[in-house]
Amino acid sequence: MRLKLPAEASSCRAARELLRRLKDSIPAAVLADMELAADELLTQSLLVQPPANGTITFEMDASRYEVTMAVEDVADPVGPPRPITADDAATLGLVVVDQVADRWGMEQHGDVIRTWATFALPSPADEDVRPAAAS
Amino acid sequence: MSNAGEPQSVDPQPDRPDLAEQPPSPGALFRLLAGPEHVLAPERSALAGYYRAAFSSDDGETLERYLTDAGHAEILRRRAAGDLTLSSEEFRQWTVAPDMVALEARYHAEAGQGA
Repeated sequence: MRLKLPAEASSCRAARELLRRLKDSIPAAVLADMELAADELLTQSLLVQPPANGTITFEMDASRYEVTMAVEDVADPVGPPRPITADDAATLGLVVVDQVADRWGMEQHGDVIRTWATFALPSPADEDVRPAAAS
Repeated sequence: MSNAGEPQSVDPQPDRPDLAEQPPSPGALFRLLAGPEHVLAPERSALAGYYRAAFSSDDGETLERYLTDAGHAEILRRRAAGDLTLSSEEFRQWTVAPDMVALEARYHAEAGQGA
């Protein structure tokens, strides 16, 4: 699932609303963590390297065992992206992503910067964490 | 609902007299003391889309304020630029009283402005 969003702060809410559509298939605790991470991924994308084309792509890819979301933007062609420092991570909320995601990372493919976070889904056999709609 | 380009004031909340406040004087300055960070739910979990920050006013009062996504991004942008001070107009534009209803009202107003 890919969603093109304008490169502005209000896109955080659009991403959260997209995630909430998955409430029947993803446990509430995981979904809450994903919403927090979405806030931070989108915000850091807007602040560290404002997208050159004015849009951000928000992507989600779910399997039985995990769900990955990613934020992609086209870097400004006048220069390479500024490396993320430890201070940036604290400032921009990537610490939050590190706390709530099972894995996360940042990659550059050509002029596209992709920041992603992966969340493990509990086993469907685990009654305690199965979403209510599935019980 | 709102005048074009003119942020609506959404506080004080009429049912929260403890949040009633006078508009800051035009020349007042507010300095970021802490945050922004996510608002915590009663069970201490962070709430996506709800941010808070603490400011000090000219007279030394400490003020907790809530922020929308737009306010959060603006405060982070200013902080990254090394600027921790907001004018009274910026303070009113980017923050609301520390109340979830006030924050939701601000979100509603921002949506009406295409923010």
